Amino acid sequence: MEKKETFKIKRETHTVSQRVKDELKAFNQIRRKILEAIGEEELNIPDIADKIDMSKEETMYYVMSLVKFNKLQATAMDDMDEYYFYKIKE
Amino acid sequence: MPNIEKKSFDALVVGGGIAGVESAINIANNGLKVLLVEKDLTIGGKMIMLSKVFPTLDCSACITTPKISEVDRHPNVTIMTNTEVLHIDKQDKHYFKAQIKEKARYVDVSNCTGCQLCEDACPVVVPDQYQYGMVGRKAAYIPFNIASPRVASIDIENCSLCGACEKACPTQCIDFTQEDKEYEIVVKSVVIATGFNLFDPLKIPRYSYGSAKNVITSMEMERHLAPTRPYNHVLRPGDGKMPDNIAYVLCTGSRDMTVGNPICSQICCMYSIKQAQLLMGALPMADVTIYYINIRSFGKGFEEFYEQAKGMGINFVKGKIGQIDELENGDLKVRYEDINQGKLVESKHDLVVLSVGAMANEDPKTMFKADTWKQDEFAFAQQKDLFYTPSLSSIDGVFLAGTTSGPMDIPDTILSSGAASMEAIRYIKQAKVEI
Ligand SMILES: Cc1cc2nc3c(=O)[nH]c(=O)nc-3n(C[C@H](O)[C@H](O)[C@H](O)COP(=O)(O)OP(=O)(O)OC[C@H]3O[C@@H](n4cnc5c(N)ncnc54)[C@H](O)[C@@H]3O)c2cc1C
Ligand code: SF4
Repeated sequence: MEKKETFKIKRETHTVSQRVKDELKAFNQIRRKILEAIGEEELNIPDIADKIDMSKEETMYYVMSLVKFNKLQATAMDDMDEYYFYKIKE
Repeated sequence: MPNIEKKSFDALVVGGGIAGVESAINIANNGLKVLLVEKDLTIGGKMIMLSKVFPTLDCSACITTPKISEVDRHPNVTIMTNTEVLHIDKQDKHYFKAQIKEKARYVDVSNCTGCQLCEDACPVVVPDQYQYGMVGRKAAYIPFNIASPRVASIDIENCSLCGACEKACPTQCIDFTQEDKEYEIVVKSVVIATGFNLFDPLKIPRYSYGSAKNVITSMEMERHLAPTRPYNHVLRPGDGKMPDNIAYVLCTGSRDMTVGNPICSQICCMYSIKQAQLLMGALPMADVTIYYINIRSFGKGFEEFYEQAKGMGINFVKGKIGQIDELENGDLKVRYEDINQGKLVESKHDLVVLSVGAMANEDPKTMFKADTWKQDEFAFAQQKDLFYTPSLSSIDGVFLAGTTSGPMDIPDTILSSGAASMEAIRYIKQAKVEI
């Protein structure tokens, strides 16, 4: 069946705001930074935050979002039972 | 977009929380036609978002979903989600005209299978309102797994119109040509079940909600403890640490003249005790302290539930919180007045939960002609007679179900909805007019 492409019709009447474009760009950059920072390793939130120079709170939001979107997965906890480690999902 | 072939109904139920769902089922079971209008993308209200329920600790989703599927499959009920009631005008006895607006979802709900391929394809990520911003969601999204209807929606304000969702959808149900649609419907009676709002803790700056990352609300904790949780475990939003010393601040925004709400919210003592018990299960090594003014455990089985919590080792401190400050490591310094000892004390916790109160949802005020919809002094719906006819509103033929008329727990909401629907049925059956 042929795809409809109604999004092109919507573009004629609806302007995508600059905020949406900026946030999309920012998210893609942060995602790339987090995935690069983790690489082959298993890291916890403070480690990732340190590596990408971002607040722990923001790092938590992005890492949890990437877990939700199946890009990352939680593995074990550290010896102190404080933080989970996260790795790239195979 | 549902096709409302029938534009007249016996009853209009506004609000699809547990009160609205229960009322709709009761009325429909009596052979009457019901239109259930919900402003959100899903029915279920707050109950569908809860973890477990006091005092039985039944799984909330497990007891909500059978009701939801019953109302969903009921031949006498038409459900419209993502729909607003613009106004309801009483024309005559037993005869109301209502103007409603169904907002475009940009998805043909009858064809969406809930496969989530649009969600996977969508590149846009924004804070997920169903997880109170603790995690992101896509612009093409299904609210959560047990949403009803479990279909996608496009958040047009955040959509980049890249077309990825439309290309990915196997049933071609994404449709950006959809527009908002208004309907005029005629009904014989109305049940208002618009529920309550949560107190906004930003109104008490000394509790540091919003600035201290590990101060959260009780509704956020419900999400942490629910099966559809934002994280893989109960973790601090500030840094992902597993908390081991958690504090509850009861009466946040209730019984407090400084925020203009002197009344007791009735549910927060018990839901906090419930959450504390669940936390002891999820985090066996954690200490949980509940700071309270009085514990209101007045319902069936509530006092025993409170005693059970004490037996589990939950620490109850009769104390009034003065100030909560964030420390460098994200922990919280809590300054309070120990009421029993009559002195000021400081304690440290690594997560603080504010047990926010139940406030009135004033939406119905805008639906009816000025001065016909009456509110009580706390802006909840005014009950015609609190003792004899608690489900009658100030307008003849308009009935009150659930927390629209004041804070209450789920069992009382079910009772109130039973009363409201019976009054509505009686009223409809008296109608001589055919509409
Ligand atoms: C943190 C927390 C934990 C709780 N835990 C428990 C528990 O363990 N046990 C228990 O018994 N109770 C518990 N409760 C109380 C319980 O949530 C309420 O009793 C119950 O949700 C009341 O249902 P309701 O349908 O009246 O209102 P709501 O759940 O508020 O539902 C109202 C519905 O109406 C919709 N609506 C609002 N305005 C409009 C409008 N203008 N047009 C159309 N639709 C509209 C809303 O979107 C919503 O779907 C808890 C409450 C909280 C806050
Ligand atoms: S139920 Fe408990 S916490 Fe809630 S306002 Fe009443 S006394 Fe305070």
